[in-house]
Amino acid sequence: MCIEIMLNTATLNLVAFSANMADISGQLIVIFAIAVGAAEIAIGLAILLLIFNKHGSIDLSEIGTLRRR
Amino acid sequence: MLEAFFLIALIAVCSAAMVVISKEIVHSALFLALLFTMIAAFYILLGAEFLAIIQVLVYIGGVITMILFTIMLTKSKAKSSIVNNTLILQIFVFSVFMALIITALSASKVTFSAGTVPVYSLEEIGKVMLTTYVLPFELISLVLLVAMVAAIFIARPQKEVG
Repeated sequence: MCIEIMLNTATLNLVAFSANMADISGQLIVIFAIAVGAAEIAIGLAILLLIFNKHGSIDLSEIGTLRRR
Repeated sequence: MLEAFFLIALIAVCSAAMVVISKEIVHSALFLALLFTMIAAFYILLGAEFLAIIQVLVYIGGVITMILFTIMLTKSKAKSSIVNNTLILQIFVFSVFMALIITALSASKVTFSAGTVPVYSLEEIGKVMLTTYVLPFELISLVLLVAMVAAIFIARPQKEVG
Protein backbone atom coordinates (compact mmCIF):
# COMPACT_ATOMS: atom_id res chain seq x y z
CA MET A 1 0.00 0.00 0.00
CA CYS A 2 2.89 2.33 0.71
CA ILE A 3 4.17 1.59 -2.78
CA GLU A 4 0.86 2.84 -4.10
CA ILE A 5 1.17 6.02 -2.05
CA MET A 6 4.64 6.69 -3.48
CA LEU A 7 3.44 5.97 -7.02
CA ASN A 8 0.54 8.38 -6.56
CA THR A 9 2.75 11.16 -5.26
CA ALA A 10 5.03 10.75 -8.26
CA THR A 11 2.13 10.87 -10.70
CA LEU A 12 0.70 13.91 -8.91
CA ASN A 13 4.07 15.60 -9.31
CA LEU A 14 4.04 14.80 -13.02
CA VAL A 15 0.57 16.26 -13.46
CA ALA A 16 1.52 19.38 -11.54
CA PHE A 17 4.54 20.01 -13.73
CA SER A 18 2.51 19.21 -16.81
CA ALA A 19 -0.04 21.84 -15.83
CA ASN A 20 2.67 24.33 -14.95
CA MET A 21 4.52 23.96 -18.24
CA ALA A 22 1.35 23.67 -20.36
CA ASP A 23 2.53 20.36 -21.78
CA ILE A 24 0.20 17.44 -22.34
CA SER A 25 2.92 14.76 -22.14
CA GLY A 26 2.79 14.57 -18.35
CA GLN A 27 -0.81 13.42 -18.39
CA LEU A 28 -0.05 10.71 -20.94
CA ILE A 29 2.86 9.45 -18.89
CA VAL A 30 0.61 9.38 -15.85
CA ILE A 31 -1.92 7.23 -17.70
CA PHE A 32 0.83 4.74 -18.53
CA ALA A 33 2.14 4.86 -14.96
CA ILE A 34 -1.34 4.10 -13.61
CA ALA A 35 -1.60 1.10 -15.93
CA VAL A 36 1.79 -0.21 -14.81
CA GLY A 37 0.84 0.35 -11.17
CA ALA A 38 -2.35 -1.65 -11.58
CA ALA A 39 -0.42 -4.50 -13.21
CA GLU A 40 2.17 -4.40 -10.44
CA ILE A 41 -0.32 -4.61 -7.60
CA ALA A 42 -2.15 -7.47 -9.34
CA ILE A 43 1.08 -9.47 -9.43
CA GLY A 44 1.96 -8.49 -5.87
CA LEU A 45 -1.36 -9.56 -4.44
CA ALA A 46 -1.21 -12.83 -6.38
CA ILE A 47 2.19 -13.52 -4.82
CA LEU A 48 0.73 -12.65 -1.41
CA LEU A 49 -2.11 -15.15 -1.92
CA LEU A 50 0.42 -17.80 -2.92
CA ILE A 51 2.46 -17.13 0.22
CA PHE A 52 -0.68 -17.42 2.32
CA ASN A 53 -1.61 -20.72 0.71
CA LYS A 54 1.86 -22.12 1.34
CA HIS A 55 2.51 -20.81 4.84
CA GLY A 56 -0.89 -19.94 6.30
CA SER A 57 0.33 -16.51 7.27
CA ILE A 58 1.23 -13.28 5.58
CA ASP A 59 3.54 -12.11 8.34
CA LEU A 60 6.71 -11.62 6.36
CA SER A 61 8.98 -11.82 9.39
CA GLU A 62 7.96 -15.45 9.90
CA ILE A 63 8.74 -16.51 6.37
CA GLY A 64 12.37 -17.37 5.82
CA THR A 65 12.12 -20.15 3.28
CA LEU A 66 14.88 -18.80 1.11
CA ARG A 67 17.22 -18.42 4.06
CA ARG A 68 19.69 -21.20 4.70
CA ARG A 69 19.17 -22.69 8.11
CA MET B 1 -9.22 27.70 -4.94
CA LEU B 2 -6.39 28.06 -2.47
CA GLU B 3 -8.59 27.08 0.48
CA ALA B 4 -9.77 24.02 -1.45
CA PHE B 5 -6.15 23.10 -2.15
CA PHE B 6 -5.13 23.37 1.49
CA LEU B 7 -8.17 21.42 2.69
CA ILE B 8 -7.49 18.62 0.19
CA ALA B 9 -3.78 18.62 1.03
CA LEU B 10 -4.51 18.38 4.76
CA ILE B 11 -6.90 15.46 4.30
CA ALA B 12 -4.47 13.75 1.92
CA VAL B 13 -1.48 14.03 4.26
CA CYS B 14 -3.50 12.90 7.28
CA SER B 15 -4.93 9.88 5.45
CA ALA B 16 -1.49 8.94 4.13
CA ALA B 17 -0.13 9.03 7.65
CA MET B 18 -3.06 6.93 8.87
CA VAL B 19 -2.35 4.34 6.16
CA VAL B 20 1.10 3.90 7.60
CA ILE B 21 0.33 3.96 11.33
CA SER B 22 -2.98 2.08 11.46
CA LYS B 23 -2.79 -1.15 13.39
CA GLU B 24 -5.74 -2.72 11.61
CA ILE B 25 -4.90 -3.45 7.98
CA VAL B 26 -8.50 -2.96 6.80
CA HIS B 27 -8.42 0.58 8.19
CA SER B 28 -5.21 1.14 6.24
CA ALA B 29 -6.92 0.06 3.04
CA LEU B 30 -9.91 2.34 3.64
CA PHE B 31 -7.66 5.31 4.40
CA LEU B 32 -5.85 4.49 1.18
CA ALA B 33 -9.18 4.83 -0.63
CA LEU B 34 -9.62 8.27 0.96
CA LEU B 35 -6.12 9.23 -0.16
CA PHE B 36 -6.85 8.14 -3.74
CA THR B 37 -10.03 10.23 -3.70
CA MET B 38 -8.03 13.25 -2.59
CA ILE B 39 -5.50 12.67 -5.35
CA ALA B 40 -8.38 12.62 -7.84
CA ALA B 41 -9.52 15.96 -6.39
CA PHE B 42 -6.00 17.29 -6.93
CA TYR B 43 -6.19 16.20 -10.56
CA ILE B 44 -9.43 18.12 -10.98
CA LEU B 45 -7.82 21.20 -9.44
CA LEU B 46 -4.96 20.83 -11.91
CA GLY B 47 -7.31 20.70 -14.87
CA ALA B 48 -6.85 17.00 -15.60
CA GLU B 49 -10.42 15.74 -15.42
CA PHE B 50 -9.76 12.65 -17.50
CA LEU B 51 -6.98 11.58 -15.13
CA ALA B 52 -9.33 12.09 -12.19
CA ILE B 53 -11.84 9.72 -13.79
CA ILE B 54 -9.08 7.21 -14.51
CA GLN B 55 -7.88 7.52 -10.92
CA VAL B 56 -11.30 6.81 -9.48
CA LEU B 57 -11.97 3.94 -11.87
CA VAL B 58 -8.62 2.18 -11.61
CA TYR B 59 -7.52 2.87 -8.07
CA ILE B 60 -10.71 3.13 -6.05
CA GLY B 61 -12.67 0.74 -8.22
CA GLY B 62 -9.92 -1.75 -8.93
CA VAL B 63 -6.91 -1.57 -6.67
CA ILE B 64 -8.76 -0.94 -3.40
CA THR B 65 -11.22 -3.73 -4.18
CA MET B 66 -8.34 -6.08 -4.92
CA ILE B 67 -6.51 -5.11 -1.73
CA LEU B 68 -9.66 -5.60 0.36
CA PHE B 69 -10.32 -9.00 -1.24
CA THR B 70 -6.76 -10.08 -0.54
CA ILE B 71 -7.02 -8.92 3.06
CA MET B 72 -10.25 -10.85 3.51
CA LEU B 73 -8.85 -13.97 1.85
CA THR B 74 -5.70 -13.95 3.95
CA LYS B 75 -7.15 -12.73 7.23
CA SER B 76 -5.17 -14.41 9.96
CA LYS B 77 -6.42 -14.92 13.50
CA ALA B 78 -3.51 -13.29 15.22
CA LYS B 79 -3.36 -9.57 15.61
CA SER B 80 -0.69 -7.71 13.79
CA SER B 81 2.59 -8.40 15.47
CA ILE B 82 4.57 -5.63 13.90
CA VAL B 83 6.89 -4.22 16.50
CA ASN B 84 7.82 -0.64 15.84
CA ASN B 85 11.36 -0.33 17.12
CA THR B 86 12.78 1.84 14.37
CA LEU B 87 11.37 5.19 15.45
CA ILE B 88 14.71 6.98 15.56
CA LEU B 89 15.60 5.66 12.13
CA GLN B 90 12.23 6.79 10.77
CA ILE B 91 12.66 10.30 12.15
CA PHE B 92 16.20 10.44 10.77
CA VAL B 93 15.17 9.35 7.27
CA PHE B 94 12.21 11.72 7.31
CA SER B 95 14.29 14.74 8.31
CA VAL B 96 17.03 13.95 5.80
CA PHE B 97 14.44 13.65 3.06
CA MET B 98 12.73 16.89 4.02
CA ALA B 99 16.07 18.69 4.11
CA LEU B 100 16.83 17.33 0.65
CA ILE B 101 13.48 18.54 -0.70
CA ILE B 102 13.84 22.00 0.84
CA THR B 103 17.38 22.36 -0.51
CA ALA B 104 16.32 21.27 -3.96
CA LEU B 105 13.32 23.60 -3.98
CA SER B 106 15.32 26.61 -2.87
CA ALA B 107 18.05 25.87 -5.43
CA SER B 108 15.77 25.20 -8.38
CA LYS B 109 15.09 27.88 -10.94
CA VAL B 110 11.61 26.68 -11.84
CA THR B 111 9.03 29.31 -11.15
CA PHE B 112 5.46 28.38 -10.43
CA SER B 113 2.78 30.66 -11.74
CA ALA B 114 -0.49 30.71 -9.84
CA GLY B 115 -2.50 31.45 -12.95
CA THR B 116 -5.12 29.33 -14.60
CA VAL B 117 -4.16 25.82 -15.53
CA PRO B 118 -4.63 24.59 -19.10
CA VAL B 119 -7.48 22.15 -19.50
CA TYR B 120 -7.06 19.50 -22.14
CA SER B 121 -10.04 17.87 -23.70
CA LEU B 122 -10.35 14.13 -24.03
CA GLU B 123 -9.97 14.51 -27.77
CA GLU B 124 -6.53 16.10 -27.48
CA ILE B 125 -5.36 13.41 -25.06
CA GLY B 126 -6.58 10.71 -27.43
CA LYS B 127 -4.84 12.31 -30.40
CA VAL B 128 -1.51 12.58 -28.60
CA MET B 129 -1.85 9.06 -27.27
CA LEU B 130 -2.39 7.56 -30.70
CA THR B 131 0.24 9.61 -32.53
CA THR B 132 3.23 10.55 -30.39
CA TYR B 133 2.80 7.88 -27.74
CA VAL B 134 1.50 5.04 -29.89
CA LEU B 135 4.43 2.72 -29.10
CA PRO B 136 4.11 3.03 -25.29
CA PHE B 137 0.37 2.65 -25.75
CA GLU B 138 0.80 -0.70 -27.48
CA LEU B 139 3.48 -1.77 -25.02
CA ILE B 140 1.25 -1.00 -22.06
CA SER B 141 -1.47 -3.22 -23.46
CA LEU B 142 1.07 -6.03 -23.75
CA VAL B 143 2.24 -5.42 -20.19
CA LEU B 144 -1.34 -5.58 -18.92
CA LEU B 145 -1.96 -8.84 -20.78
CA VAL B 146 1.22 -10.41 -19.39
CA ALA B 147 0.38 -9.20 -15.88
CA MET B 148 -3.12 -10.66 -16.10
CA VAL B 149 -1.89 -14.05 -17.29
CA ALA B 150 0.90 -14.08 -14.71
CA ALA B 151 -1.42 -13.16 -11.84
CA ILE B 152 -3.83 -15.94 -12.77
CA PHE B 153 -0.94 -18.37 -13.16
CA ILE B 154 0.60 -17.49 -9.80
CA ALA B 155 -2.61 -17.49 -7.78
CA ARG B 156 -4.22 -20.57 -9.32
CA PRO B 157 -5.11 -23.44 -6.97
CA GLN B 158 -2.02 -25.48 -6.32
CA LYS B 159 -2.15 -29.18 -7.03
CA GLU B 160 -0.63 -31.42 -4.42
CA VAL B 161 2.57 -32.76 -5.96
CA GLY B 162 4.16 -36.00 -4.80
